[in-house]
Amino acid sequence: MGHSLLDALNVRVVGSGEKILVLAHGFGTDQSAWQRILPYFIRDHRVVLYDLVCAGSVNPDYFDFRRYTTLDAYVDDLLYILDALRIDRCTYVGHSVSATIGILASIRRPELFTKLILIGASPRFLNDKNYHGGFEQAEIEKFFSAMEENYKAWASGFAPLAVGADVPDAVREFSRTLFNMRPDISLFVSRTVFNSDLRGVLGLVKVPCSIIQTAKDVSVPASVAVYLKNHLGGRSTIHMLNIEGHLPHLSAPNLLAIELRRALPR
Amino acid sequence: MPTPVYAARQCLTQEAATVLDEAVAVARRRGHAQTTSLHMVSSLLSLPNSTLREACTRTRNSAYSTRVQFKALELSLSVSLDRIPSSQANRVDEPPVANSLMAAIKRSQASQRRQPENFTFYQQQQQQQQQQNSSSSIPIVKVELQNLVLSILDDPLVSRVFGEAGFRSCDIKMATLMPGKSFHPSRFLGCTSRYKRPSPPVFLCNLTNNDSLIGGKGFSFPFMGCFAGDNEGSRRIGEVMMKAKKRCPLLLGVSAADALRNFLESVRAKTRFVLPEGLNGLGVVCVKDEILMYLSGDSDEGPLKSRFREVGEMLENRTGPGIVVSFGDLSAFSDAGAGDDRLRFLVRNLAKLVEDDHGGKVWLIGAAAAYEVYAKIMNKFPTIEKDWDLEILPVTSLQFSAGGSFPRSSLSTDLQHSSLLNGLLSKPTETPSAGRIKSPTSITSVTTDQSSPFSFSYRENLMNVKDPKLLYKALFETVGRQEEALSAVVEEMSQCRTNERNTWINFRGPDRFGKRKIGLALAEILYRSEESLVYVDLSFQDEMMTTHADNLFNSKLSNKYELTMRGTVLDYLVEKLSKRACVVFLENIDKADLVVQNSLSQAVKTGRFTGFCGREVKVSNCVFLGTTKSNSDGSSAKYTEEDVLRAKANSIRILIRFDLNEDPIIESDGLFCMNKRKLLRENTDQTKRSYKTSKSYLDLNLPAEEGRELLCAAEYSNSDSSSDINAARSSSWLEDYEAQIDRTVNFKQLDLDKLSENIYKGVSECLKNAVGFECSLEIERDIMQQILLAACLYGDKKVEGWIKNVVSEGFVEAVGKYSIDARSVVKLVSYEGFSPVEKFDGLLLPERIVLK
Repeated sequence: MGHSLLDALNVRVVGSGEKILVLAHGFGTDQSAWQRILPYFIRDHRVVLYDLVCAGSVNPDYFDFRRYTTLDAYVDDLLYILDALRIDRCTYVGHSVSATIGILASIRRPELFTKLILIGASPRFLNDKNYHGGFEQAEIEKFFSAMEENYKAWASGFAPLAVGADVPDAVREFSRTLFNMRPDISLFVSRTVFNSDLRGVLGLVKVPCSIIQTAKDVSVPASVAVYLKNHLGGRSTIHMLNIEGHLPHLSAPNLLAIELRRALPR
Repeated sequence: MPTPVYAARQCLTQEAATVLDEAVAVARRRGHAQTTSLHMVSSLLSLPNSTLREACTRTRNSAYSTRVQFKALELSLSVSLDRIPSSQANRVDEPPVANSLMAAIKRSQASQRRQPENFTFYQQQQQQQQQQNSSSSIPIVKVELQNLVLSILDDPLVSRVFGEAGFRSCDIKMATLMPGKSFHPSRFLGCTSRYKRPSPPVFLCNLTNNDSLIGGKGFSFPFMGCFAGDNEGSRRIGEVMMKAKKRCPLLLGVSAADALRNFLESVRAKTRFVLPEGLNGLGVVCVKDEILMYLSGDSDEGPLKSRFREVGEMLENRTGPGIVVSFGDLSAFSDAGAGDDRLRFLVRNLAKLVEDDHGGKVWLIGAAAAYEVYAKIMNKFPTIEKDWDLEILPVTSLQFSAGGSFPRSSLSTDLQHSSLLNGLLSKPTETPSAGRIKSPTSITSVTTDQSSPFSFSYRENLMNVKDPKLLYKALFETVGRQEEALSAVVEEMSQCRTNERNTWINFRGPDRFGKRKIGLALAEILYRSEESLVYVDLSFQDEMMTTHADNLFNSKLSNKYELTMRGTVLDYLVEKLSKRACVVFLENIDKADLVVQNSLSQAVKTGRFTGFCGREVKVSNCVFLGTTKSNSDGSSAKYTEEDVLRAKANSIRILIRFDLNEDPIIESDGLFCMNKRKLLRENTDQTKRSYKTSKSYLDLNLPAEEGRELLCAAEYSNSDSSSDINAARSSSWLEDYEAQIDRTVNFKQLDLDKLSENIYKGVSECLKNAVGFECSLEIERDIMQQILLAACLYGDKKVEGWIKNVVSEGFVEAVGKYSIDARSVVKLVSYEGFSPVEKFDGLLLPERIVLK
């Protein structure tokens, strides 16, 4: 991919300001998920937007099934973009899988990040001894086979569940981007995500973090936010949003924007 | 929304449209409502000179003959087509194009538009079109057959069909692309670009001796067929080792130890492409065991030193890039039992290896499960990172774990597939995938879902149920009386548990708690947990009216319908029944309103429950227990169930008086005692009266008028004003209902008088033991009722135990404090706790008897 990575991943820089803010979307969405958050920040920030390689808005041919077997490859992409844009310091907002990617990126290149803001982040989705990630192995297998069986049906069932709150617009938007993903890529990525376990490495994160967690999230139990706070190596805070759903940027953009403002480094 | 066929045809070239037409015909013949990708595959394979068939031939698995493998493909395709529901009645002439197929067409349109050689063409076309016709903005890209085939192969359903016949979509795609070099394969298919053609297609059967490609048993994509081995992790380790500084990797993460093992194995096995060129021929020395032995004090530094010497010798004798020394899991260092001296020795010696004399030809490598482990070592040896030249490498993917955290690893699915293939040869109908077919009803049914943990435990417990003696014993242990009723229940249960139907029993008569206890016990025995009891009181007893006894019992129920809940009782039942099989306890079934009655009658007949909102659930393997109260027969018994059920939990106090006609001599406050007694008597009288008045009540939570209209003659209240018509209707329904269900079990009146005599005997025995001689005992009525209730709720044994321990302890204490002689009268009375310190705790059997 080389030089064309910026084009391939639809990298955009909008707004003006000294400070740089990176908005990274999560599984099942693309950068359009941030469109209602964006207006709150473009006046005083340069905002970097990009699509994960698995997003439906990216040419599926770029998705190399041998390369994107672990999240490290996604971290490579992120760091490549930041380097190519000559960014030496930024605040990183990551949702869901991108929160994980941000954590890993900050371990590799701590000097790049002033702060990580993690929305709906989880170091591991599977339950384990003394750890409640929210999913049992059997549930996940069911989830995968439902996905494999009939992607459309799965997507339209999963979207309202993930959005959680009764916001039809958000459900429609999430369904659209979710269904845009090629089924095989979508399945591959979710396997990669469920196959990740960051618990051992959280202590390596020295960058301060803000953990934004909604009161009820089908993918991430609230206890996970506490786990993150307790294990992340740097100073970290939890911001609880009194709303439901895994996608607050779609279902409650105003509220999230206000909370993001609060979380931003002064 | 499916797309009409003519609209889909517009997006296709002539050649592709012909294939679509044939697919539509297949769908029509089979009476399917939509044309899907599977129909397309069927159509593609049936074409003369089919390109798909030809592509398959070139990728086919060499272990099987062409004929066999195509036979397997045909079967697997027809099984999948059979799964699509068909209806001959609603046959459509042109079954419209399903969303999934339309998505495939759109994907190929998009990819065609993206092809560089086409790009300018479409742009020109667009411009031309804009000039010609400004209204149509987007030019329609006509999809070529080849592109369409490629897109259809992305469909998971299609991939599965091919996979089950031993073909890999990935390979078929490659083969499809090969003949016509209209675009560059590596650009189109990232996943296969690293495969060096023209090597034969990769299949499990020709891979068995090639560890490098199977690699770790980690996950691989089930239908893409690329071996996404764990070389990625090893590659990263190699990258760290190639650096000039910080070149010794410390793998950190939950599965770091597995990653380390994996890396060392592939270095030892000299797997190609894992390590960067500069590291080819790397040697491995593992000192993990020596370290463990040394740190645990099982050996001295001897073995360790000799291993280190070995490293030096190896370096001299070989020409390769060097040696990697694995010290294993870092937790051995932090948990070391041996003193810090040994640890210091070890850390220093390992540091020496990487330091100087070996000219950068020795690497250290190790693993730690969590950062905390590493931080502990860092605290002891702050310079260790520099001394060992460490670079921390986070390992966050579980795919390294040897057991494979995904049960459906590529290995197992592929074996499954090949076994399916073998199976197809002999018995074509018995495909494992056929077992996965789910009928629409089985989704809601609670029993056919084999995966639920319940069905498993149920099957185990079936044994219990089948043995009537065991079941009786278990029930009697919890209920303790009503032997006849219990045997009737046991008889019924062991009869109808043989097949997957429901059991309907109605409990008639008194002993409310006996019935409820049977419900709880059955839930526990049949479904392994008391939580499987779903409790509904159809008389909608007002919260205000619930007695202390009810509250105590209700606290045991985890699934009880409350009027405050959203939705009707029926919705509640439907929701609970759709989750899993359970015991449904329908208290006061005769008080059910018309809607509930109808629903119950229907459920008895059909096994289906319909909620108020129309949601329906098919029920099987459930037990329905109804109860009807009998009107008290006005017996002359001293203690009646009704009274006992209303008993409160009082504190119990011992009073000692002398049996004299003169004024009582009391050590403590005589006046108080007299007043108190009077007070108590008045109290009981009052409460009795108040019960009578409150017998009829109105439920203010329910709209009286509307409710009546809506539910016809729905009778919500027990009020005396309820009309005779309602009562008659209700009782006639009950007769019908009882005629339909499996059994009606009659319960006997509890002989509470006898029970109270036994209790009295037990207590006086205790008193005799404490005092040493017989003396009179009086137990206040309130207290006796309280103890009787405890016996009903918790069983006689518990009460006996309580008397032996708590009551007798109270007596012993009393003997020590007061002088008791043969003329004394010892009384157990209720005590309302005048001192604020002694708070009432709500226990029927208090933990201490108050003495004052």
